[in-house]
Amino acid sequence: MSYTAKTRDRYRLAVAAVSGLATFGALTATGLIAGAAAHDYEAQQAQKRADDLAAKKAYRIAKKQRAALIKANKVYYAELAKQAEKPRVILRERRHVTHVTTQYVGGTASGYVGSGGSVSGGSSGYSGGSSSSGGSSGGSSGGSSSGGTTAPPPPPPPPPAPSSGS
Amino acid sequence: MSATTFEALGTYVFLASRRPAILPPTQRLAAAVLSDVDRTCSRFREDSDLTRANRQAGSWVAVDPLLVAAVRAACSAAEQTGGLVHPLLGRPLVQLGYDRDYDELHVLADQPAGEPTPPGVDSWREIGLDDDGALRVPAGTALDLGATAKAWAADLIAAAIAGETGTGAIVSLGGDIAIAPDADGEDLPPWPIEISTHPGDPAETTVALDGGGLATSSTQVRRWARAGVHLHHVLDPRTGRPADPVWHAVTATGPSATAANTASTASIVLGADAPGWLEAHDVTARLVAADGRVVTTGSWPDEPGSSQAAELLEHPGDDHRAQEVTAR
Repeated sequence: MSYTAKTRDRYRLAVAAVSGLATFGALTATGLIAGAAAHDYEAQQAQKRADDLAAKKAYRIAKKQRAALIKANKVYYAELAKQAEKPRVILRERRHVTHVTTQYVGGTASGYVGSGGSVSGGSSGYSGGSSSSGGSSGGSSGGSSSGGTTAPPPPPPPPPAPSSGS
Repeated sequence: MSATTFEALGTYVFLASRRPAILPPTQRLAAAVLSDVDRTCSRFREDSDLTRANRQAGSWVAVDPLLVAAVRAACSAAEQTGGLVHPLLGRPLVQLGYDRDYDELHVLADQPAGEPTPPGVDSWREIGLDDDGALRVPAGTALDLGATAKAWAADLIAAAIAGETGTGAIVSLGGDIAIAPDADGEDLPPWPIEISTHPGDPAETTVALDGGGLATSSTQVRRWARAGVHLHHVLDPRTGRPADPVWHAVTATGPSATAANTASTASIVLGADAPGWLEAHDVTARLVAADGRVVTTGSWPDEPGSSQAAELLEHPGDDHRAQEVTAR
């Protein structure tokens, strides 16, 4: 087969058509790729925005939880401190028995140093004698009644209480 | 009027009441209170709450609330006297040889006394108290309530008698006196009291008291010896040693036996400063110096040869003896 002008034109047309197709294909592919890339980018940005939003939300929640924890800790440690002020017993060896004596403790007079009762000379009716033991009566100097009227005898003077050095 | 005496806490107990009928129940009440005080507060009982608390010094220990109340009274005495009447003298007393009942001290008379460790005047502030029944003795120290427990127990008995019978009575627990008031007592005579330095000695003076408390402290009783060195039981917390015997005995009054005893014990420790301290605290008292002279404060009745501390303090140049009173 001879190479003619007609053949040449056919080839030229064919080459041009193929080139055009190839160019179109390439441009289409590039557009597709670029479009896909742009889509991916948009998706990534959207995801990032969503992630940022979620992170911010999580941060706010965590912040709230932390504040709540600090508050709870404060209450807890305040309670601990309160308990420490009045510590519980560490060593328990004795039987728990409450004695009636305790009820008199609150009834005692003031223990504060200062003036007390009136002190006077000792001649208050007592004229010697010593206290007796075992519940018997102390010294008696009871007055005797005379005459027609009977006055009640004065009470016997109290025996003196000893206050020796201790 | 009736009276009775018996023994408890290693000393005598004298009880007198205006109504003979109530004396037996009153005595039973006093014996019960003293039994509780001995069981909780004694330093010489292995099973007492105080002994257990001392053994576990530094830790909180469950104790009878009665002991907590007794220690609180002792701490109050320390606060009022700047620590001169001190509840933590247990260790120096043991170091000086007072480690058992007084009646048994002669057993070790030939052994020398140890060197006492003073507790620190403010160390009593470290005592932990829980009124529900717990106590913490500071580590390295030991409680001894000898300075206050008898007087406090006398106040307890008086409160118990007043609460249970409403009848006037007087209690002397080893010389620490508390008066239980009459519920309806008007124009009743005051209670006579005989003052002496040693138990059983003839009275040096007799006074009458209408209420409150009265106590006598002395450097001449509860004495013991270690290797020839004579010691007595009233220690100066600043040194851990027996107080200088400037006064043989001090008798003081107060609103209660505890208050009176706080004043008399502080006076022994204060020595020459005592009359001024007593006057400043409005305490009526009688002080017997080592040389036998008598100094009085407040409204204590005059005695032959006695001097009023107020006059001595106002005119210190008038009497050479006043120099001792105003010394330091």
